Amino acid sequence: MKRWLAISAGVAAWVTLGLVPAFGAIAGAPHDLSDNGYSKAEICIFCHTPHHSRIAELDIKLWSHKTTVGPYQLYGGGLTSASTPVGQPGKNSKICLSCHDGTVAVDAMGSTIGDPVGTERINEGQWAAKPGLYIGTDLRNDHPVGVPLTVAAGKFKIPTGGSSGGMKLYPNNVSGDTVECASCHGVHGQTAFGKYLKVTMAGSALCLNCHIK
Amino acid sequence: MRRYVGGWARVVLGLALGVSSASAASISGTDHDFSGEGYGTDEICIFCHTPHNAKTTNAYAPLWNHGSSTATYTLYGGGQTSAGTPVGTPGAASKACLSCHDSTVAIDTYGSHAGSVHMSSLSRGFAVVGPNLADDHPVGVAHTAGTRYKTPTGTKLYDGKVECASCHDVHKNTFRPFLRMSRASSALCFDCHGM
Repeated sequence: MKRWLAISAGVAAWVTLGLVPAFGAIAGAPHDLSDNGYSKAEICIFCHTPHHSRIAELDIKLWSHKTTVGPYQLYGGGLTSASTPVGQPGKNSKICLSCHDGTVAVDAMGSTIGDPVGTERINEGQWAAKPGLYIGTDLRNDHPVGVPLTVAAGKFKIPTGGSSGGMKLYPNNVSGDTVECASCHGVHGQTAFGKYLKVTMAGSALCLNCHIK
Repeated sequence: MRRYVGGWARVVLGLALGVSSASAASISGTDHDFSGEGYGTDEICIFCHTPHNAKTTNAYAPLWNHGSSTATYTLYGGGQTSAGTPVGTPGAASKACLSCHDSTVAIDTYGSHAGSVHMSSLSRGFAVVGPNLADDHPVGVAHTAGTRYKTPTGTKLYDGKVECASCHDVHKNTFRPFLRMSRASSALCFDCHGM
């Protein structure tokens, strides 16, 4: 009994002191903003709230971040070189762009009870030193999102596999569905691939999951 | 020394698990203490419980004394999570809470007292859940431990489902608002979610 208590205390202290990750992949990863000096020392609340979510703003589960309204300058002026229309970013891009386009403060989070403003956009303050995180609203120099992928021999295929639910087209990962930020990036699961990528960039495996080259 | 070690272990364990090791926390003086609100009584328990002639319709609400809601609820995800798990109507361990928090029944509708103060008339925006549950974490939804979800330790399931009382403890406000665990580092969320 005495030994059990001692072991329990040891394990508990270990967890309490953060010597081992108490939770899954988001804790301690870049999307864990609980220790970035914002008003909430929490993790989930930056994107999700258990009550009064902003689902009317953006149809994302228990959404609690103020949603970007763009507007965006589209890749290729709205047309790929193969003349595929590029639309406005879909909801599975807007969840990301609500921080990463720099129009809404990173800490502009909270339920519909209130109108969160936040203090710091992703091109300001502590984030200014990490310019790679700032996508902006000019998407002309970024891989297109909101663009449908149509399966075509020798050109495009449906992505398969990968972490965080796998690479996919939205909504159903079928031909004609669109590429969005979340096609390549999984917001919750920082992986060994970095940048929340779902598949490794070694050998450009991620790119070649859709592009037949 | 042995007793000291044991006590210390419990304190540390309590901190780690986000549960209070003290038993001092009580409903008295919390937002669930309506004894000073002029609701026709200076009692605390009476709003939900009566020692006699109680309603026995809710297994998770012993000696129930509050007016019961008959609201029709709009369910989260239209009755289904994105993973395809059915979301049912709120179970007993949610209905007790919603008897005030859906705001269809007045807070002071207890026993034979005809209430008049609905939650929506107070400046308690966040606490007013309403009958629209589409913007709230699902309740009445089965929890299956696996790769996505863990078996909760600090929170709890009712008949295998997540209900209001899974996260909230109506009687204790150690972790506001009446939470079973701390929200620091989202510990409460991660008690089930394996993110």
